[in-house]
This record gives sequence, structure tokens and C-alpha cells, in this order.
Amino acid sequence: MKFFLLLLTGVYLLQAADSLQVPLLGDQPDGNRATPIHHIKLLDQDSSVIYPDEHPLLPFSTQKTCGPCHNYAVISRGWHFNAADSAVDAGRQGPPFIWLNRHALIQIPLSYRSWPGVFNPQDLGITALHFTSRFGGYMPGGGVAADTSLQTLKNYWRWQVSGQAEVNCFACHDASPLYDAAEYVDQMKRQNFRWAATASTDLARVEGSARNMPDNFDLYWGVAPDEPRKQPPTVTYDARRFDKKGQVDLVLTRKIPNDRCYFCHSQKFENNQRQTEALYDDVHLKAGLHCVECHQNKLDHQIDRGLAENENSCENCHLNSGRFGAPKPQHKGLPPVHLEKVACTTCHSGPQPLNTSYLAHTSLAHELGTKYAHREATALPHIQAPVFARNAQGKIAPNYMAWPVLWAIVRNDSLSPIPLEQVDEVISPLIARGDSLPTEDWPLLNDSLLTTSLDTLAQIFPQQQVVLVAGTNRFFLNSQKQLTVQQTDVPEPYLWPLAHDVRPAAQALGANGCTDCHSLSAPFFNSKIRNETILSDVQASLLPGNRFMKINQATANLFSSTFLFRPLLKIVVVLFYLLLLAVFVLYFFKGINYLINQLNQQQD
Amino acid sequence: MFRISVLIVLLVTIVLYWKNRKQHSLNQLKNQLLQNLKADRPGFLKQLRMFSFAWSALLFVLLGLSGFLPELLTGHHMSGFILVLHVLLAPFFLIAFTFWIFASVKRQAFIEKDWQIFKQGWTTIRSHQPTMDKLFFWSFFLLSLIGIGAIILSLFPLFSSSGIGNLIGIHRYVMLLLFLIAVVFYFRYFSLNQKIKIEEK
Amino acid sequence: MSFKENTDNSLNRRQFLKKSAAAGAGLIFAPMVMTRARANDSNDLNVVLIGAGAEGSVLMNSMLKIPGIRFKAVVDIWEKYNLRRAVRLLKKYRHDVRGYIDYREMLAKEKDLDAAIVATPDFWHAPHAVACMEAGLHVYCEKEMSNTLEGARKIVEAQRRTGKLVQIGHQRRSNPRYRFSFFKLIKEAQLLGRITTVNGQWNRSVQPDLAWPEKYAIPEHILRQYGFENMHQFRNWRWYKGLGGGPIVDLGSHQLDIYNWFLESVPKSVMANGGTDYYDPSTHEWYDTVLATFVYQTKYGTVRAFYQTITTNSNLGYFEAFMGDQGTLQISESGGRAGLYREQMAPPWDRFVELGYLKPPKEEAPKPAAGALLDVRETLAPPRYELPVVMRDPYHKPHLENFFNAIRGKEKLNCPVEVGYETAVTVLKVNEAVASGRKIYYRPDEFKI
Repeated sequence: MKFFLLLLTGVYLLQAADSLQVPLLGDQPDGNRATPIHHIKLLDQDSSVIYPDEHPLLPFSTQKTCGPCHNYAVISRGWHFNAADSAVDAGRQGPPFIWLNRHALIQIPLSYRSWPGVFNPQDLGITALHFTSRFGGYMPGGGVAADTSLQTLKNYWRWQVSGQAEVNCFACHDASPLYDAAEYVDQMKRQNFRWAATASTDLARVEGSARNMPDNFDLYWGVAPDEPRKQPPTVTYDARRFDKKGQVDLVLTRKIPNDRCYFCHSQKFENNQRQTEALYDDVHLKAGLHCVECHQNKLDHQIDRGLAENENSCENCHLNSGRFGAPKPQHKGLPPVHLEKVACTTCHSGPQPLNTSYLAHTSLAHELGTKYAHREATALPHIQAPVFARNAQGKIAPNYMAWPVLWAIVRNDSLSPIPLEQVDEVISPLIARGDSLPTEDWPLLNDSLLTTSLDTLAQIFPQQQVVLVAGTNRFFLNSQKQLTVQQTDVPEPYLWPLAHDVRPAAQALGANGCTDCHSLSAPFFNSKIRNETILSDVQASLLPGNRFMKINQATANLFSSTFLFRPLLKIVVVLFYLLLLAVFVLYFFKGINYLINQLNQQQD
Repeated sequence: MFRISVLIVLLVTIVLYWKNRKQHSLNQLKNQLLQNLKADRPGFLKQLRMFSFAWSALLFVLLGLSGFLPELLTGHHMSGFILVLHVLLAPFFLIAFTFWIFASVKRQAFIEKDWQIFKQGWTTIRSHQPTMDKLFFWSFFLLSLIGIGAIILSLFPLFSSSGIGNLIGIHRYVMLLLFLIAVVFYFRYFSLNQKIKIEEK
Repeated sequence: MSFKENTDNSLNRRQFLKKSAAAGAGLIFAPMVMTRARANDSNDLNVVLIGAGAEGSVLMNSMLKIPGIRFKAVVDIWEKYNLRRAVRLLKKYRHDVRGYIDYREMLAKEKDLDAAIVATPDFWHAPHAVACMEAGLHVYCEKEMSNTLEGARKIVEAQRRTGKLVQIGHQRRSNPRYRFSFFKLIKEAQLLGRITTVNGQWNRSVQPDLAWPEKYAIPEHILRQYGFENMHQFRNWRWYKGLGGGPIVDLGSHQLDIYNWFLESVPKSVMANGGTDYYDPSTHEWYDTVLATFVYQTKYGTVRAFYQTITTNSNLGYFEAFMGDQGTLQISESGGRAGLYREQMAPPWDRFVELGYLKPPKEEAPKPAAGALLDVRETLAPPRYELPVVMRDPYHKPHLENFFNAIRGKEKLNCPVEVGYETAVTVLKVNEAVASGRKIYYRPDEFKI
């Protein structure tokens, strides 16, 4: 009985202690708007203080260094870090990572979030290790790069070598102009997950590569004994930054500089008809706002994604709260049906629509900002924009779009993607052999090569139909082993919202009148999007750009055609109306006149 | 709100039809119209009046149906092909209506007798079909001016989106009221079972 | 199955040879056919890993790829680092494993073990191996058998006394490329003709001393209990006299073992030169540079073998080259450094290519420039023939597999204690030769116990 009571008391005390948990120093701002100075010691993963003259030197750990004052556990559940958490609502679609393999003819949008249209890396045999080393440079640490539940046993040793990539606080909060996000990308590609954050700051340099280290690599080894060309990850700190106590001054900020966001969230648009420069003229930024003023978050790091219902959405700022002095739009001459059926971004965001969609280059997909950047206008992966489609609210909104290109097996009328490693092993050598042109687009292909590729894969999957899907084209071998192409809607392309750069009113769709959209040649209803055709001897076919808008094209054209004679119509209706008005006024005054006479007569 | 209003108008129409179902028949309507035509003075004006009235009435019904049915059935305002139809028919209605007004306005002007009847109160006015006809005409005319005017104003970039929304709202409600008046007058026509008596100076 | 039979079979089935080579199944050249043990059957073996440092991790990594091996315990005196890491890793692989600091405690408590893997510093090999044998375990003992001949002898005596299987960790003895080279090329085809000289080296770059996380340093009393004065000694034991034998033992023993094997002999004498020329002698008691010359009397005649190990430059890495009057075999555990070169006066090797002993050479000698008045050519590198055998497994895996299969009665050990002892004698004498500065002669009886 005594023991039971003691146990109960212990449990109660523990719970009470938990509820009385004191917030960490950095979790609750005291109201002072100035940025606090961070004159602190750097700690490694073992919570040991880092002194620049020690050997060996380990990278600092953000969890151990920042964690004592900022609740790392809470922060690491933030939006940028929780992609792989299946309990988190995926919400509105967002930019995917795109697995690209030119020689294996693979272009697949990936995400751990369950957005419709993306593929889950695990379903394609992509391990967390490979995902992280390929895309981790554009993820601010944590999440997939540190989620041990995603790490396969097969790669356990490699994770011990590379370490986990902790939440990289510096990716956003480092205000130093010398913060090098491109270096972070490079380090992640080398599987220096543990070192990447350190390397990206101006505090240290990291050379070497965990990728080249053997499975039993130890942090305290030094060089790989018999592989002199393979240098292990080695940190060298800038000793000048350390004082005698081992403290450094970190240049940090609450208000994230736009450059930090830009590195991962940049885009530029190319078009066959004309090259466009990246649009750097977001009206909000020109007005002096920072990205984080709209895309806010609190300690929980649940960043505002600009959804309509959020506090900092277009509607809430411009129509309701007037935050940041947001002007209230008059939309003079714009019938309100547009505001019901069309999102703000349709008219105000992204590049002006042209007759053919732009090829968009994004940070995530084209590794912009790094030495790996895909620079050619038609460089893979092919992302098109703007592509207008219905959003979750049923409004037409602009999107980026990527067609998947993948190899699959047809099973019961559905497609099962073939694991990428298997495809790479079989297909890449076949296609690489003949790929001699230095292009970042698809390699030159012909029927014969595709036939051989399909046939080779078919031998691995006997009795099953192997297909290559590219855009709406489904390539396969018929019973006579001839290459056949069929049109298909499966899988659908992946679309995600395009919201930047925001154009001011004078550059919005409709600024030049209704015929910006409502005309028979206006791009809005009549533009074309490119089909993903990988055969070089077939010109890339174009598809109607409105296929995702769920409108009746005939009706739209009919309505647009009314604008041909609309000016004349206005003249006619005004004229006739004035006639009617004149008649009414005439008889009205006649009536008034009679009444006045009657009144006069009565008085008399 | 507008959907409820349309529903009310529909109910009123149904009730009126029910009340007048014995008197009401298409044959009778046709006969009445023919009688009215015969009673009318012959001439170009008569032709114009007849032609423009027919077109106005037809277009009015089509416009009404295209405007109210989507609201009634779906709760949303018209869109798509129906909107295009409505937009295409409206100018023609305006033109036909204008001609009808021009052809009819003189005979619909209030005369001394009408003023005398006005002085005697609503009961007398109600019982006097020609005066009631004129009242219907002028109220229809006035409301049309308001309703059409609202839409014409929305064609120009003079108002903000919310302003245009208000104008469209005015148009819808005024047109609904017009429709109601037309329905009431239509069925009254049968209930009274009277010929149109044209009284003009 | 005799090798003759093997040869006939392989002569007639070149494709089979190529396919099995490509699959890394060079073990068909093993004296006995090996069949792979299946997991979760009566062939499963319970093992303990003694020493979970760098080499222990390498062995652990290999063993995790061998079915039918169940780790039951890990022993390491570095509790907070090596031991914790190993136990955590093995548990991740679902091995029901317990960690121990002291091997005696482990032996007292673990009663269901079949074998012990000893990967501790050289001076502990003998105590650990002997204790395990006396506890009834078969032992895989990393090379060198010991840092002293006395220690090596104790292992041999214990093996004879207990009858347990003891494999010494000269893993090249089970490497299919090495086995092919010896059994097929040297013995069967006699490709090299009469071997006259051998050259070998292991060159490594300058390396800093191994460090450790201060937070997890082993308490001094434990260090001393297990023979170390401080953490630096514990981490860098190879450089300390009394603990290890220096680079010539760490590295040279692998290759000198190959010398003995391929020459089917033991050396008659050794002359060696060396010293601690580069590193701090207070922390590097052993020689950082050793150059040794051996003389063998083999069935071919006199063979002179040169060996060097340097730790200040990595030029050309590590390899062994056996030079005969017909050709040269250059081989290394690192697959990219192997090759065979025909001597100019030797008959063409096309026949050997056809018979599957060799892969055809890749490069051809370029033709002389057309129209040249004088046929002046540069001295060209001779064409390089490659082994038709590749090994894609981790280096230690075949040797461990051989050990476990020997326990299961399916194979014979490729490196039993007697063989290991011969190598130990060969290698340990080199340090003596360096120290004395004179030629040391080996007595034949020294190699036998």
C-alpha cells in the first residue's frame, strides 16, 4: 500500500513538473524588438565545447548549441521539417523534388507529403539516405535527413558515417552576408550531413567527403589510411572568430533576410518565343516587405503558406485587415464573378501568360544557385508555368506543372512504377552509349532505342507489360514487339501553385481591358502546354492549356467572341437606353406638369 | 437570399396559376391576344407594337428563365452557356423593348379620366382595367429603366467590383420584381376575363 | 574435387568460369565446395566479438552480411564509445546482444557461444584467444597472432590442447582473387615461369594520431587494468612497443604472409633497415619506415624478396608483385591495382586467355607513325592482363565465411594457426633485424612448434 501511494505521488509530481515546465530563454520574446546578440559557445554532438585548436575538430551541433535556449523539439516539428511525418496534414500542394535521370528516362516528382500527383520516394525504392544526399541541400535539415524511422537497415552504417542532418537554424536565421547556402548543397551531396550546417556558415570550412569513407569510418580517425585521395570530412574553424573562452559572435536575426528564402524558392521562366529574365519585381518586396512578413511563423515554425484562410493571405490583408498598409483593391470595371471563380494569383502572379507555357526553372528542381545548376532553357526537368487549373476552393489559379516520365508495369489497369535502381541499372547503359550531345534536355532517342529498352526490361518482368510513360504518351511493345504509343491520362501531371512574383495592378491580367483574357487569341483560355515527348524525331506536341481549368472551351470562345463587338454593343445599348430614359423623363415631366396644374386649379 | 426570393416568386406564380387554372388556357390566351389585336387601331404602329411586344415578351421570358433557373436549381448565379445566352439576348430585348415603348407610350399616357380614378382610391383603380394596364406599363417601364440602367453602368469601369456587384444585385432584384409584376398582371388578365380596353386621348 | 578435375571442367566451360567470377563466387576454387548456411537453422552460430574498435567494426560489418551468424555478446573496455556503439548497432540488426567490459565476465556468463572473434590490440590476442579456446569456443583471431613469438606460441599450444578451430586473420588467404592467382596461375598454369624476385609495399600517407572524445575517455584505472598507460596509448597502441609491432607487423604481416604462401616457403634470412624518422618517437616507439629484404629457398630456387612499409607517403599504395622469367603478377587486395604482364621472351599468352586463366588485355601497342624514316618508339608499357575473377564482397567476408564453414564441418581453414605462426615468425623477426642492423637468419625449426 505504501509503495502504491509512493508511486502515485511520484507520477503526480512528474506530471505537475511537466505542466510547470519553464519556457526556454529564447522561446518567449520579452517585447524588445532589437535582435539579441549571440555571444555563445559552440557545442558538438557530445555537448563538448568546440575550441578551434583542438584535434580532431567536430562540426557544431545546432541541437546542442541552440537547443539550450530554443526548444529544438518544438522547432523540429515545424513545416519545413515535418514532410515525412505522416500524422501531419499535407495541406495544399507545394513544390516537389524531382528525381531526374536523363539516361534512364526518369523524371518523377517526389515528396514524402501525400500530395495528389507526387510519388513517395519509398514507393520507388529511394532510401532516405539517397533522398537526403540528392535533395538535402535544399532542405533545412531535420525531417527526412534526421528521421531514424525512415532509415533502412541496409544504410545504417552509412548513416553512422554521414551523421544526421540536424535542423539547420542558420539556413534561415544567419544574417551574415557570407552564409553560403550553395556550400550546404555541396556538403549534402558529399553526404557530410553532420558537417553541412557548419560548412555553410562563415565560421568554418569543411573539406572531404563522408560518401567516400568506408562503413566503419570513425569521426576521430583522421585520414582514410589507404585512400589518400579520399579525404574524410575535416573541419577547420576560423580561429579569429573565437575568444579566449571559446565563445563566438553569431550574426543572427529574427527577421529572415529574403536571400535565405530565395536560395530555395527562386524561379525563372524560359519560353521558346522569347527569353525572359527572372522576374525580380515582386510588388510586395518592392514596397519594402520581407518574405517573412507574410510567411510568418512563431516558435512552432508552422510557417504561413499564404492560404486564403490564413491571417496573411491576399484577401485578409488587402480586403480586411489592411496590414502593412495593403491597399484595398477597387478592381474597377471587374465584375465580382471573377473574384469568385478566379484566384488573386491568376491575374497578379508569375509571368504574363503567353501562347505557349514557359519552361520554369526552380531552385529545387534545377539546383539554381549552385555549380550544379541546369542552365539550358530546355534543361531537365521540364516544369511548365503558368498552367491554370482549379484549386481546392474551385477557383482557377496558376500552377507549375511537371509531367512524370517513368517506367512502370501495367497491373490490373493501374501502373506500378519499377524501382528506379533497377531501371537505372538496365536502361542507363543502353541510352548513355549513344548520348554524345552535350545537352541538358532528353538524350536523342529513336524508336529502335526505345524498343530495345522496353524489350530489355520486359525480359526482367516476363509475362507483364512494361511501359514507359511520358506526358500523355504511353510507350510499349505490342504482341509483335513493335513500338506502340497510346494516349493516356494516367499518371496525371503534378501541379502546384504559382504565387510569385506578384505583379502590381498595372501589370495584372485585365489591366488592358477584358480582352486580356476574353478574346479568341488571349493566352489565358487559349494557350498551349507542352506534352512530354521524349522522342527527338517527333516534335513535342502541344496540348490545350485549359485542360485543367474544367471549363467548356466552346462556351469560353463564344463568350470571348462577344467582346469582338462589345464596344459597338455598348454604344447601341447606351443609345437605346438614353432614348428610353428620354421618353420616360418626357412623360414624367408631363405628369408632373399635369399635377401642378391640378394643384393650381384646386387652389384657385 | 436571392434564391429564396426567386422561390417566393415561383410560389406566387404557382399559386396564381392554381387560382386561375380554370380560366387559364393557352387557347384562351391566344384568343385574347387576337381580340386585342383586332381592337387595336390598324397601321404601322400597330404592326410595330405587335412585333416588338412579341419579341420583348419572348426575350423577357428567356432572359428571366436564363437568369432565375440556375439560381433556383443550383443556388449559383448563371454561368457558362446560359450566361452567354443571357448576354446575347439582352441587347435584343432592349432594342425590342425600346421599340415597344415607342409604339405604346402614347396610348399608355395617363388621361384625365385616369387622374380622376386615381383620386378615388385603390379600389376604384383596381376595378378599372385600362388604368391598371397603364399602371402596369409605367411601373414596368420604370423598373426596367432601373434594372437595365444598373447593368449598363456595370459595363463601364466606373465602379469597383463590389459596386458592380451591387449594380448586378439591383438588376437581379428589380428584374425579379418585374417578373412578379408581369406574372401578376398576366394572371389578373385571366381572372378578370376582360378585354383590353384601350383608352387614350 | 581435385584441381585437375577443376581445371578440366573449367577448360571446357569458360562461360561458367566467367559467370561465377562475375558473381564473386571465386570460392569454387576452394579446396572443398562451400555451401552457404541458411539463417535460422541448426547451422546458426552464436558468436562474441571481443574488441569493437576499427578492426572489430570492419569484421562486424562483414559478419552482418553472412547469414546464420548470431551475435550474443560484445566485449570492449571502451564502454561509452566502442561498446555502446557496437551494442546499439547490433540491436538495430535485431541481435540479442549483451555488452561486457571484461572478457572473463563474458566467458563466465555466456554459455551458449560457438565462436569468438578477437579484434583487440595484438598484445591481448593470446590471452583472449587462449581463454576463449579453454572456454570451448572456436576462435577467429586477427593478425598478427601476437606482438611476441611467445604469445603466438601460446595460441598454437592452446589450439592443440583444446582441439578448437583457430583461424588467423590473414584474409587474403580466402580472397578468391588471391586463391585463383596461386592455385590457377602460379601452380597450375605456371604462368610466371620461375619466380625469381618479389616486390611488395604498403605505403601510407602521414596520418595524425587517433583522437577520442574527451567526454567519453576511459577512466585511467581501467586503462591501466588492461595494460594501457593513457588514452593516447589505448587509441594508438600499434605504435607502442609492448602493445603492437608497428607498421611492419600491422601491414607487412598481410603481405609477407602472401610471400610465404605463393612461394610455398618461409624465408631463410632477412636484412632490414628502418627507423622512426618522421613521427615523434615518444608516441611512436615503432619504426615509421621499414625496408626489408628476404631470401627464400623455394622449389624454383633462390628467390629474393623486397618489402617496404612507409607511413609518410602513399605513392603506389599497397601491392605484391611476383616476378618470374615468364611474367609478372602484380596483385593487391584493392582490385584496381592487379595485373599480369608477360615477359617479352615468354610465349604468347593467348592460349591462357582462351583457357580462361586471363582476361585479354585492353590496350594494344600503337603502330609506328606511317612514313617515319626511323622507327623510333618510346618504351611502351607492356599490355596488362587482368584476372578473370572479381571480388565485390567486403575484404574480410570470405575469410570469415571460411572460418564459420569450417566450424560447420564443410570446409578446411585457409589460415590455421600453423600457417599464422609461420607468418608471425617471419614478420616479428624484421623488427629484430632493424634493431640489430644485421642480417638475421631464420632456423627452420623456428617456424614449427
